[in-house]
Amino acid sequence: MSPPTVDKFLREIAGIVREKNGVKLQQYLKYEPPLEPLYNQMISEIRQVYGASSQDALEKKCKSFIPEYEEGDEGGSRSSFITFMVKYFSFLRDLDVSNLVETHDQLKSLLNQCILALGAFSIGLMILPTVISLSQTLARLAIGLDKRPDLTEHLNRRESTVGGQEAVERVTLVESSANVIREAFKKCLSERSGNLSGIDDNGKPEGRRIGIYLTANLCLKLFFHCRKLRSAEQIFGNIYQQSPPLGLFPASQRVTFLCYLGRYLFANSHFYRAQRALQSAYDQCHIQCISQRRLILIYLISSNIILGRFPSSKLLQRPEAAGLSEKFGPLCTAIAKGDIASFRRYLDLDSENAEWFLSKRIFLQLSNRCEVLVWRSLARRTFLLSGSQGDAMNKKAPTLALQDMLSLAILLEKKALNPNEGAHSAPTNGQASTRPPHANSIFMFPKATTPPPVANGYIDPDLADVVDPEPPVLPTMGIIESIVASLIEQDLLHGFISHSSHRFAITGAKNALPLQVGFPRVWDVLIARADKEVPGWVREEKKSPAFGGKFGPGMVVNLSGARPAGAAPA
Amino acid sequence: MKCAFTSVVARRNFGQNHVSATPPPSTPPAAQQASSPSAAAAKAKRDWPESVRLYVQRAFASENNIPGMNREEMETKLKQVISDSAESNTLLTVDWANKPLPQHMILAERHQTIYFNQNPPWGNGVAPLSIHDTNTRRTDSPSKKRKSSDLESSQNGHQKVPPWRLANNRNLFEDRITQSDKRQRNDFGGKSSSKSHQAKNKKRFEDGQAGYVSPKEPFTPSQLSTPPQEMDQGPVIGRCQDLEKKYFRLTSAPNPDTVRPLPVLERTLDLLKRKWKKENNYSYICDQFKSLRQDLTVQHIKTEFTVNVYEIHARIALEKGDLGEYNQCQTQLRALHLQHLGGHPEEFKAYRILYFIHTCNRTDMNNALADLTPEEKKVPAIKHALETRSALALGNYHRFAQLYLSTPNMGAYLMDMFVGRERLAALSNMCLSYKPAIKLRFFTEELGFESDDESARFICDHGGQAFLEDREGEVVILTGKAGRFFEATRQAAFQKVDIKGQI
Repeated sequence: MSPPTVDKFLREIAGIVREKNGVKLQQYLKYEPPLEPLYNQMISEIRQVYGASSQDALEKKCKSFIPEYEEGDEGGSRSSFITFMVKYFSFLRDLDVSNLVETHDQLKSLLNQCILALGAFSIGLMILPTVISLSQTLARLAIGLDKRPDLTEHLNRRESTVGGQEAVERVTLVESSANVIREAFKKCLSERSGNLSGIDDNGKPEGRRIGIYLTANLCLKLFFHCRKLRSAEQIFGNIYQQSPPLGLFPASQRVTFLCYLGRYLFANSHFYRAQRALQSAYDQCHIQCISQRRLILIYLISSNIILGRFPSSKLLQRPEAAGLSEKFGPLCTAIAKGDIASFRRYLDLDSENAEWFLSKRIFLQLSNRCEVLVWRSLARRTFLLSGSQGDAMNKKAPTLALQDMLSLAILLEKKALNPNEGAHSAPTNGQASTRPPHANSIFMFPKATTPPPVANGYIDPDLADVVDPEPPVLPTMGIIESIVASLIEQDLLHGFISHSSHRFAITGAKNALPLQVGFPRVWDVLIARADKEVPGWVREEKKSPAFGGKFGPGMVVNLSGARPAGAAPA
Repeated sequence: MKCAFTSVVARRNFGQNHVSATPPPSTPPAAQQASSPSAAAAKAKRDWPESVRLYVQRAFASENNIPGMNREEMETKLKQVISDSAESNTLLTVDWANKPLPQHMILAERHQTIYFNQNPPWGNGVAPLSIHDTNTRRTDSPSKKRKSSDLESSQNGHQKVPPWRLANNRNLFEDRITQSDKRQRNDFGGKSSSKSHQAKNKKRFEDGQAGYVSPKEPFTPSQLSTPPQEMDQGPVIGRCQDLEKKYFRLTSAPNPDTVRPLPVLERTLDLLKRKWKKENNYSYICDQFKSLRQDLTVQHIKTEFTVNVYEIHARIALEKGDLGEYNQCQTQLRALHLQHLGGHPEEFKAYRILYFIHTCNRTDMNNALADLTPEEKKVPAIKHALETRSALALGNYHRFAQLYLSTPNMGAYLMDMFVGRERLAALSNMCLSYKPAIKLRFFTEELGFESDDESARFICDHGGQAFLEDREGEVVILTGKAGRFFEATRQAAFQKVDIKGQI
């Protein structure tokens, strides 16, 4: 007896396949509970007629409605699609939402088959919407499961006992999903139909290429989630080589992609490139997408601060910037003032703020780069306070005594070590100051150069780890000199050090203000050094793409990116 | 056809089924089929015991039909049950009257399958290889089923056959055993283009890849439970008593005779430690440690001893600058330390941070920092590594040199790997910043060289001898003149970071 609902369903699917209506196909192929009654009816029919052991019958059934070869079709078989349909029915039959890990695996396998069908010439484009929809669900499920370690724990445990091979990196559940979706991405990217540029007559990406950024963004989401930025790098690399311009794709895809690209570049310390990508993402992001704009803004502000541009109070008043002022404000103040103490305290690994910065993965970059800027400001302030303006007439260059900078640095570092002394900081530990409370620290300079008493006495070995065995490091002339030297090296200070007189001399200040020449604007300096091209961001149509074109006689083909014959697609 | 048939060694008993055409007249039809293999195996015609015949009749009785189960499946199971019994000569001893009927066994297996699904075997890349091939599906179910229901020992024969052979054999076998399948296969073969084959092959390939493996193929729950190879992967219990063993990369399942059990391994470690102290022969030690690690791995030993072995090997590798082995150990140690088996997780965390500095790996550094607990940040070794990181980020080479000279544990060996380039960076820095000249002594002290000779040699090694000058008995570096001279060398030094087997 033939199951009526399955028959009906297949008949309609066959019709859709004939029409090549991809969107309708995706709408018909429902798989995520709660399903409509008709689907439930179909599932119970499948369970009745096609048990786990009647896969052949199921395949025959599908073939009877959807012929493998269609008359007049331009070649290519539909067997991969039929297999997909069989798998789809099996998925519905075996679906058990009480076991999500299992469901995830089944879904992954279903998507895998769907992607194979995507590769088929005749039906590939039609199935793209289904691929996207499955990928989205898989990504959602994978991240959901990742947040439930109680459900995936047994996988890890099993893996740790069964996975015998040494030095094999564990592929997490999220990563394995991303790898499947990446296959879809590759299929979209390697579409060969149409002309060289991959753009059709209406100026839209042609064929399966419309799925490039949809699939790429899903992969990136998962790679970022499971911290596999090295895998993300591949996606950007492939896109940079083969994709049509990003501008041809819908805004949501553009913004998402640029956001991930910016974050990736930021993580790799390409701050100017990151800034460009993120700025573009922020500008294009719809004004009502507050949470997206906020995410972009966090990275955009971080990049800009590192490049020497602080967020304006107007920007920080926008709805998406709620709360960001408290996070970045103190940082900017510390940089502007050269207040190494507040900076240290603020970006201490143990502080509460650090946790937030760490969770956004911007801590390392901010603390690394901003400390340089703080020291630059400190040098600048020292020059303002006690620098010698020089005398252009007598060929005396403006100079700054490094000893003064050292004194300031010691004062500030001590403040950082003993926060109680700072008037504006709340006491964090009960450690009392060793100095009399009435002493103004300004009068403490002469003594400050001698290091504080070090605990020389006997320390029981058992306690060695408990107390901090290393004395707090206060700056010395050596440290100040090396910091100033590296600031000079980065062009953030303009001049040279005289080691014999312990002075920093500003050069080229004949016709300009020493302050401006000696301490150029951070943004200007860093931009001048930065590379303007942003790898991964395809702005314009490529003149001669390496792949996917019809090559005429006499054309020079650049094969540098080609892979050896027989090699798997990268 | 004939040669194809004879090649099916593993399944000879079933295959005979075609040839032996004359069943004993008294047996019911299903038993005829079932009987022939065992008859062939025994090389003698046999009268089936009454109990077996009754069992077969019961199996076919209509009141024992289970809805949703097809007859073919039941028959296959029945054949298998009887032939297994015949092979093990238990036809007369089995209590056939009370033995569960094949359809009930199948049912039980289905339940078992559900159980298995909840605990899917993980990471075994072999399982779904042939699953998709519809032709093979039904016939390979018997062996599968046998496994999950009653773990019989008679399956060793085909375990040795590699999976692809297995699939092939079954195809051939299937080809001749049932008419319907043959036709189906022909249908398929006649129409399918090379493309669809490609797609199928690709699919198999992908399903078989470690990353893609879904432990359960939703499609055919009846056969997923345990792939044939799983049995081989269980822990081995070693029997070898030798203390020393050369490392040999396994290409097949480990042989218990060459694997040393834990007590032996413990003595091995003591021996190796003594030998290392005495002879300091790295190639010998490394080889021995590798075989030691291998024996631990194949026996699934994960204890404090394991951690100990990896830590010692990592330290020795570090000392000898063998980054490849060091990284292998670190990778394992990271997982082992996460399981809190003891050892020195902080020490190795500090190494990891230093290593990230060496490889300029900012992404992983960021992650590593985020993962540090407050207690860990207070551990001297980790503190040292973190300070080194921030000193370098700031370009504070003065502090860096101090840290370099006070590195705890074996970290100095890691810092040795990048101290050269950081000193070069500092030299380049100084040449840009200091005018007109600095004393060599200052350079030596700033960068923690052991002597002026050493620092002078360092400068000469990088082509800077022209900038060294003797002034009144003191050597100075003409930094003003050198200017950007060391810039290019410095950039080159930072570009080539050799990453061997990095984590």
